[in-house]
Amino acid sequence: MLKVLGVCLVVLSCTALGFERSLKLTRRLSGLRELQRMVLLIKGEISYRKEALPEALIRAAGRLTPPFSDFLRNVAERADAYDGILFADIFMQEAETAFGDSALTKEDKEELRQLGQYLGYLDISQQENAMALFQQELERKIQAVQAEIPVKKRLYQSLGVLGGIFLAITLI
Amino acid sequence: MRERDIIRLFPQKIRAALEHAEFDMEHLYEIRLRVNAPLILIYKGNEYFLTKEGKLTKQMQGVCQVEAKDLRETMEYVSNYSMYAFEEEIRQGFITIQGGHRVGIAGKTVLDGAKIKSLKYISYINLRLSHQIKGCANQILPYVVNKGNVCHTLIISPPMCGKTTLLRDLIRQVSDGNTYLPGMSVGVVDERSEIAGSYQGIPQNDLGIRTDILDCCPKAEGMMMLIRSMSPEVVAVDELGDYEDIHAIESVIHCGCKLFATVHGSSIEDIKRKPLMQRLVQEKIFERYIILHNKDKAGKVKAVFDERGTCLFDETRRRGTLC
Repeated sequence: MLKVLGVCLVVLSCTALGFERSLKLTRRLSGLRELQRMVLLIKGEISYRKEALPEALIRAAGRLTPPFSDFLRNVAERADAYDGILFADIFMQEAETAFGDSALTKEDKEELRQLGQYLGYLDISQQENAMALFQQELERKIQAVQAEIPVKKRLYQSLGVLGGIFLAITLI
Repeated sequence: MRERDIIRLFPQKIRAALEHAEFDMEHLYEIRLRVNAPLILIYKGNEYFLTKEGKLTKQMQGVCQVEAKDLRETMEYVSNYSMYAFEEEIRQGFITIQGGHRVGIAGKTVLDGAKIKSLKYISYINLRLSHQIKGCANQILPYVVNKGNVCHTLIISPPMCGKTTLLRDLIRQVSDGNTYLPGMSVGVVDERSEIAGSYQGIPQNDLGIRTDILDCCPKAEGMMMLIRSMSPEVVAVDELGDYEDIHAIESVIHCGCKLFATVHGSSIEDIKRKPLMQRLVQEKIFERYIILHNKDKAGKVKAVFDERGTCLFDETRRRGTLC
């Protein structure tokens, strides 16, 4: 009886692991889409309203969901505090806090950090170019993730179930 | 409050020195940053270096040195991390910040044909601190008012002698009313945001209760706009110079408005040598000329003349008496 219970637990755990892995893919996709929206909103505030960066971030934050809204609000608050820290550093530190345990990959976070280095200091056209480049890169990633999601989701889920069964058989 | 607003514009290294400063910021006129050169302060009209401990000195040992990254950082803070929002100001070579202070910048110009498109590698920053000295126009008010009405007045002064400070107080006193005349509506065209020091549309200096301000507007266009829209009794502008300005002045005067203006120079003869200004003097457009000098302190009145060149006040004679 105990053996059967143990086998079931192993299979269930591995299956859950596989599903969790596949869910992470979906969360990354929605994260990338929200990131794309965030950049689009900031770009709009900068290009058309010519708002100062902290105000632009606050306005954009109002139309986003957490953790993106909190991230922008925190960056704006720290920028307004004039603590003697460069904007790129504030952006990087807050990005680490906000997205440290998110579904975004290390590569996604690195690109976001690089965007922070370009924000604010350049002229409007260069700001737009930097954000357009970031958006293009995001678009490419979103399409790639979208294309691989069905295959990878099935793969992770199957691997979870099969891996669980294999482990259970091995243990028996 | 004012001190904190100024100090926070600088990188940590300079902040630390300024925070420990043992001098009165009220008498600080300029802070100059030049790449790979010591930080220079203009304090009470004299030039000093600033030590890392916050002391003013004339010696160059142990003073704050400015590096390229300090200038970049300063620009970030001055623009509130938004250099792109100040493209037009950067093209003109200065940014007006909260408090009405003016940050002059120089570096490598980026040209678009023959026009300046932008500035990059900003290597020189001059923070000119705005000072409002209420009451500094008291001395000239009796000369500016004639038979119960204000006169068309031109303030002539070399740079850094307080002409904008004097104009600011003159506007305030005429707008609020004073012992010589009741309050009048004043229209100010503040092309460089120096007079009112407006920040996000709100004047940081007191220009009186009957003053309307057109901020960051070219003088010639602004004067006409104000006359059409706000019907001022007095129009005030700073630093006349262009042909368009002179042309607009004629329109202002023909509209029945009184005019307060300033111009760079050291005497009436000096401005007569400027072709554009010569005609205004010859045609006796201005009824009062106020000449400033910087002998002891900024904003000191050297002499007051009327339209015929008659001296009404001469500082070199008995102080405060008629010629």
